[in-house]
Amino acid sequence: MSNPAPTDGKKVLHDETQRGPLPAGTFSFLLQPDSEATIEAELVDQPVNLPQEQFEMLLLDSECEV
Amino acid sequence: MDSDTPDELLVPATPTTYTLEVTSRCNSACVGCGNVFQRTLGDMDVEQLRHLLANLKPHVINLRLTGGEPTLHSQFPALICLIDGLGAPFVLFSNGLWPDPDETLALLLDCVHLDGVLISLHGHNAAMHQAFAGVNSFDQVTTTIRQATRAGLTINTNTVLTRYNHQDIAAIATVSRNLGARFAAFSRYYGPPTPVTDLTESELHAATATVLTLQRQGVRVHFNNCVPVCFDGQPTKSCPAGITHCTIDPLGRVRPCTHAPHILGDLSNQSIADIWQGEAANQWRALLPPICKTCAEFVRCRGGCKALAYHLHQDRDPLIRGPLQQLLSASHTTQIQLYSGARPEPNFTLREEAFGYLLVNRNQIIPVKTEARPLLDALDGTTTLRQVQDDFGPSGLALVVYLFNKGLVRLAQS
Repeated sequence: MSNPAPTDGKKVLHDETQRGPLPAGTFSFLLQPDSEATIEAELVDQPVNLPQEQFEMLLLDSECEV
Repeated sequence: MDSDTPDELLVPATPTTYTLEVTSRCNSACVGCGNVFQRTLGDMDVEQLRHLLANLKPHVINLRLTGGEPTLHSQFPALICLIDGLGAPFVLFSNGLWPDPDETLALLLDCVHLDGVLISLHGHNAAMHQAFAGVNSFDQVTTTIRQATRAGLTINTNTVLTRYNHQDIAAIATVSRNLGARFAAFSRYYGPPTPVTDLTESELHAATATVLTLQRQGVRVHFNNCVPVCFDGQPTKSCPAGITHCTIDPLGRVRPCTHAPHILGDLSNQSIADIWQGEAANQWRALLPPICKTCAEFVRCRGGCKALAYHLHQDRDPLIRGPLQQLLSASHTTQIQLYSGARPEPNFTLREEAFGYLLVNRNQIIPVKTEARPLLDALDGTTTLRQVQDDFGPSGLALVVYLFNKGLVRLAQS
C-alpha cells in the first residue's frame, strides 16, 4: 500500500482502509503495527477545534481495567 | 526476552502498572473472587509499603489499589496518603462498602493523584447484585456511589457478568448513569469456575455484542478485560499480565495479575527488575498458547487470559478459536484536521528499553524505535507540526498524529 500524494493542499498521512502492514515510510517509527488505528489527517493553516475523547479514554482505560 | 515468545511480545525491564493488594480483608462474600491471593494475609504493612514504594518509584507509571476491600485496611488514611504522595496516578477498586463513608470520601477527595474509583455494581436491583456479591449490599453500594459522585469524585462502576445479569447490561448501565457514575464497565469473570459466573459462549458473545451496540448508541459503557479477538472478531483489550502489569500482595510478593496465583518473586529480597527478568516471569510468559504466536492479531490480543486457562485446567483460554490470517478489517477511520502551527507537547513518560523506547501514560503504552528519539526530543512545545514535517518527513508527522490520537501528545495552538 502506498501513501497517497498530497491533494488540494491536504496531506493524507495514512489511509489504511484495507488494513494490513503499515505502509513503509509512514509509521516507520513504531515497533509494532497497530491494526486498530486508521488515521487520515490533514494540516490546515488555521487553528481548529481539537477532539478530546482520546484523553478521556486514556483515563478510562486505566480506571476501569480489572 | 524468552526465545519461545514472539518478537512482538516486547517485555519491558520492569512493569509500568502496579496493582497493590493492600489487604485481604473483605466485607463482601462474592461467590467467586477474581483476586486469587490467600484470604489470610491481612493488611499490607504501611512501613513495608513505604520502603517498597521508595524502591519502585523509578518504575511506576500508574497504580491500582485493590484487596479485599482496600478501605478496610486498618491504616487506610496513612496508606492512601502514602500512595498519593508517590505522585503517580492511581485508581481505587472498591466494593463500595466503606466502613466510614464520610471519612473515606474526605480522604479520597483530598488526593491529588487519584484518577477515580471503580466500584462493583453487579446488578440493577438488590437480588441481582447479591447473586454475585453474596451479601445484601445493593442499597449501601448505590448510596456510596451517589454520595461520592455528588461530592465530585470520579466513579465508574464494574459489573462482573453472571448468569443473573448478563441479559441486563443496558439496565445496569442506566442505574450506573443515574447514580452519577461516569462509565459502566463490564467484565468477563476470570476466577475459578462457579455456577453463578459460568456463562455459555453464546451468552458471553451476546453480552460483548450488547456492550458494543450500546457504545455505538453513545451509552457510556466499556468492556474492560480481554476476550480473544478470534472469539468474536471484536477488538478488546490485550492482556498486559506479566508484560507491563504486575500485582503485589500484602506480603510484597509479585504476581502477573490479580487473577493468577503464580508468584514471580518477592520484593522483600529481590528488585522488581530481577523479578521481571527472572525465570518465573519467563515461565509465565511461556504459557502463551503456541497457536496464538502466528495470529495476525497477536499484538492486540496476546492470547487471551492465561490465568483463566490455569483455573480451568486447560492449556489456553477456552474462547480461543485459532490464529487469524489477517488483521481485522477497520471499524472506522479517524479523520482529523490539525493546525500546521500547532505545537506538540509530550503527554507521556519516556522509558528506554532494550528494544527501543516505551511512551507511556497510564495503560496506554506505545513502543517506538530508537531512531525516534530526535523527534521525541523535538516535542518540546516550541516546534510546530509544520516544522516536524519539514525536519522529520511524513514518518515524523505521522508518529505525532498517531500519538495525539492515542492521547500521548497534546497540541498547543495559542
